[in-house]
Amino acid sequence: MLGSIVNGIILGSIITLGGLGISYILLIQNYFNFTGGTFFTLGAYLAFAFLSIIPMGSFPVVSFGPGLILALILSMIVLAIIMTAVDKFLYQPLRKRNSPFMFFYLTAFGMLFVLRSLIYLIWGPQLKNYISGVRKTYHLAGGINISPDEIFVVLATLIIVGIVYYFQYYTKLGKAMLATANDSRLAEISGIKNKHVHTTVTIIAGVLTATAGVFYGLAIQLRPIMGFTLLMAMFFAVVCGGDGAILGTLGAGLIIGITQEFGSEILQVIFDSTGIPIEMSGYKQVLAFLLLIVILTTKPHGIFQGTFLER
Amino acid sequence: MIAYIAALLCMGSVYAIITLGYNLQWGYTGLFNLSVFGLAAAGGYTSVILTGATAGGRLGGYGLPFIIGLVGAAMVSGILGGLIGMATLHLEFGFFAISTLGLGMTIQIILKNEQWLSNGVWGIGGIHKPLSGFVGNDLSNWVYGILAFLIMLLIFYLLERVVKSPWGRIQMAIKEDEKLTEMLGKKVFSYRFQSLVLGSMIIGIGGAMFAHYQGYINPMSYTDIMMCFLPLLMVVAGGSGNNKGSIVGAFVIWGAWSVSEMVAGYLPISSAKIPHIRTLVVGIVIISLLRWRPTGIIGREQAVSSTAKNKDIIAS
Repeated sequence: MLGSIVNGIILGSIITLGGLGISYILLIQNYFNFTGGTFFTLGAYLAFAFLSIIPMGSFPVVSFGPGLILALILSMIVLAIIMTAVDKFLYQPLRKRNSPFMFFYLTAFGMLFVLRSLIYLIWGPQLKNYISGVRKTYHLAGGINISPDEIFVVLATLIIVGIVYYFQYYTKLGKAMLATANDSRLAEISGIKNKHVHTTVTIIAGVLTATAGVFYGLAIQLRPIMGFTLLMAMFFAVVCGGDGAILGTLGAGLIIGITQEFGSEILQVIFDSTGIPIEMSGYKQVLAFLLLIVILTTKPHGIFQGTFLER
Repeated sequence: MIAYIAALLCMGSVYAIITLGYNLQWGYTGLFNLSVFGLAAAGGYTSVILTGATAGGRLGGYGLPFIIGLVGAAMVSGILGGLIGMATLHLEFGFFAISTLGLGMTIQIILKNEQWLSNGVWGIGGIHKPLSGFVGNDLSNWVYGILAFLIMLLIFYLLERVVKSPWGRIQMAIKEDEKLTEMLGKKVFSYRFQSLVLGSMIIGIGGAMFAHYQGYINPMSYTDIMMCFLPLLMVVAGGSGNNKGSIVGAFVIWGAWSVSEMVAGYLPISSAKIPHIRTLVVGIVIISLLRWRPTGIIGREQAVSSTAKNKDIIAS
């Protein structure tokens, strides 16, 4: 029971980072990035590719080494470059000719399948792991099994969210982004270059998405479909957090992570005791999606105070 | 070669039916419905459960005639489409797309997990083609292909009548200018709902025809690539908002898709990689179409509102 809450927190912090990547695209470019989940997978696999060149090394407590950190940074850079290139080549022409929303969604949907098939082609359908050996795991009271890697993931997520929050609301570039999101023409008049803001946003989204993917690979494992199965949960974090508000996304991400792990276990107990023959382990994704529908119909601007623009 | 043409006739017609239904939703009303694969799966499973001769522990085995299976498929998919519409139609464009994608995934997960309903991942086999008892195995593909083509033509005729009526013009007006249509006193939600349900029924019929052609279905027969992405490409390639374009798009894209399978057999690539290469090529095609030729092969026939000056709005 308690163990599933811990698992939920770990999953929730990964969902938060992925959700922030999507919400940055939503903030400036006004479309839900269907490709976000697949970029997430690509980031994780890029780090895997770099790790085959870079020696892992070792750190004292955790089971990974400095090689993984280096691979993470390289994967961030490469994914940011890829996302910027996609944005420049595919979305910029659409923005220029004032295309309706549906064109952005169609392009994102097409990109999803292009990237997914590339991942299958290059790395194959097998499950993969960053760490080959057995992980160090602590067994605590109450059935909690936790490894130092997972603690690292949660702590690093909190630190990254803090950095993003500071950058967004206390630096000049962050404020310029907010101004562009609010009124791009007015922002342009006051001397903010729209083009630069679009590039910055895409780079930030790339860095966050790559981090989320690598953390998923570190805490759980690498699968070609992993980002797509988390897509609903990420969308939930964005919507429920209040149009992508940073701290709200963190809260909503933790909520959905805990619901998927802990809530499904609770429901299983309830179903078992009442005799309803439903196996909940297959329905974790559905749970995230049902919550998303409930939030969208009742509180479409999130359950937390404030939004991305007005915190 | 002759056998290939028969197979092309069958699958092309099946995809043309699904594409016609999708074109009504996306091409005419502008609903970016991503639950097509779920709706098609619901239709396929309904028809199989109704017409199958034996059940073997799961629901089904009623042995009803083929036509009842099609009607049942249309009804179940229509009801599901209606439920989806009630839950999601009042949402904005992007939220609607997300929620319908989630609903499609939900239907697929239910079919995977509930063995009493669908036999889970093992699927249902031994589905018979209609009339195959009379004509034997050699001709059954031809007979089925002609039957599917005729059903497709019937749906096409009915849809042409529907979209040329005032009802169809209102749908196009909703796509081009939603607020204007609402100001003219049309209930936008109700029109969208009708379009979603009608399109879902046609998609359900398409899914059922697919199941009877394949002879064996499992939840993975209706993947998001084959049953949502490919119809989407067919609609966009033929020109959204154009029923003739949908049929042309379905046959052209399916022809290219199946020829690419044969060509790939001669290339020195391992067979596990071929489906992914095809998906990659199809994805690149759809993105390039949007980038350079948003009107598709034929393009839309008419624009209703004269205020829709933006070329992309008319094209989409």
